[in-house]
Amino acid sequence: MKRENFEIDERLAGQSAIREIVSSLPDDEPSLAWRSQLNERLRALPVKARKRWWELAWKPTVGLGLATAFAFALLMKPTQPGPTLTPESGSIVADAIFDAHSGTVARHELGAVAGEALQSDTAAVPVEWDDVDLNTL
Amino acid sequence: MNHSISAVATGIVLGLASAAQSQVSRPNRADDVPPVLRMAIRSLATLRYSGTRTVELLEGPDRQQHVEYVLRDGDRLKIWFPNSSPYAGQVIVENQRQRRHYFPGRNEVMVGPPKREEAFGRMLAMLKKGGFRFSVERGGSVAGLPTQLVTVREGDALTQKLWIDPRTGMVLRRDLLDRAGTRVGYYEFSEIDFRPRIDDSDFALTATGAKVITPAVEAKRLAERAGMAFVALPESEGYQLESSRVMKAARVPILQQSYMGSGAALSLFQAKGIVDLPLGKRANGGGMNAVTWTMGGNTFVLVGRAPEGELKRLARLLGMH
Repeated sequence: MKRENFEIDERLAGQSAIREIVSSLPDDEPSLAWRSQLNERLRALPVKARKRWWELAWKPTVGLGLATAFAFALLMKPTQPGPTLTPESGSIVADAIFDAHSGTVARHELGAVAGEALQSDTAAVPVEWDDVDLNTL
Repeated sequence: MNHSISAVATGIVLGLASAAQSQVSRPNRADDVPPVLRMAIRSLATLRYSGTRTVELLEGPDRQQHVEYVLRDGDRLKIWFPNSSPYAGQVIVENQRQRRHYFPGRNEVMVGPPKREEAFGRMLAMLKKGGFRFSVERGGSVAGLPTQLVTVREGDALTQKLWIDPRTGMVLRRDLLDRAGTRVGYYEFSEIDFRPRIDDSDFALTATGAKVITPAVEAKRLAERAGMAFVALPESEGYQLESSRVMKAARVPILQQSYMGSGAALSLFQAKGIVDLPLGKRANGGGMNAVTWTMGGNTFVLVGRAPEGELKRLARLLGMH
């Protein structure tokens, strides 16, 4: 046991030399000069004024307004003002109404197809089979 | 199927006779209805033919005319058009229950009520009021067949001419005139075959992939395009929507819906904007009644031969206050 203690004391004595060497080294304190320089440069830059609430809100508000207007334009058909009517035009409209009804009555009587129905189909599609197709020539 | 049409035709003939008999104070008598005209009405149920006819209708100031092919087998009817026609490819097939009209350009089939029983509906309705006069004379040749010409007068006005084949009862030509004597419509067969070879497929209409629409769908479509409200008579009132169109008069867009009910035609008009319409004089001059009202910024008019009270009742259903 004594021998072991002796060995430890010897080793510790050997380390004291290293401690002295380390203590003799010059003190190397970190320099904060770079930080000071950075602060100076930042101070030299122009300072932006802090935005107020309405300055922050105008863009979303305008955007929302435009989107709403667009939606209305899509969903709501614009009401076109009716044509300016004179007493004469009232008579013309009345005549047209009775003529149209009389025409309808005549068509019913004749069992004829409504002209407007026939004309509503823009593409005439003729049947194109003929004797050649049947090979009967 | 033919039984019901026979019943209708018989009813019409009986109606003609009773209507004429009921007018004891007027010059009409039962035998005023010429036998050849009775035969024409009766034969509606049984006629079988194929033919080519020209149809002309006065549409506003214009006379619209076209040629069509007709195939009839009792209550079955088919109409189609020559290849040279602007309507080539369109096909109309009708039976007792419905009429189907195929539009190849739109690839749609319009399904609506049949029309064949309307042919003499107005005449019957008018006979109930009395005042009809008939005359019969030789009509000359139509479609190569000798005819008898039946002339119909309402009061003093000559309103109809019918060229009838006395052998079959087929009306080979029919002219309709207004009270001023202007011909407002006619058809005339140029060819007729009473022994056509008919195949059941002739009355088939299988337009694969075509969209099936109704007159109500079409009316709604037109109303939307014209920026108008879709307002329609309920079918429960006995009037069936048959067709719709948009026209213009004095630059005013007008949507017309044509209805048929109980042999009488009704038209519902919706004019864009508030229009002051002098209806009374014109309506009464044409033997019609009309009611008008405004709703939603537009002007509505209901026109027909129905009594004014009936028109007002229907108008109230549509929103008239």
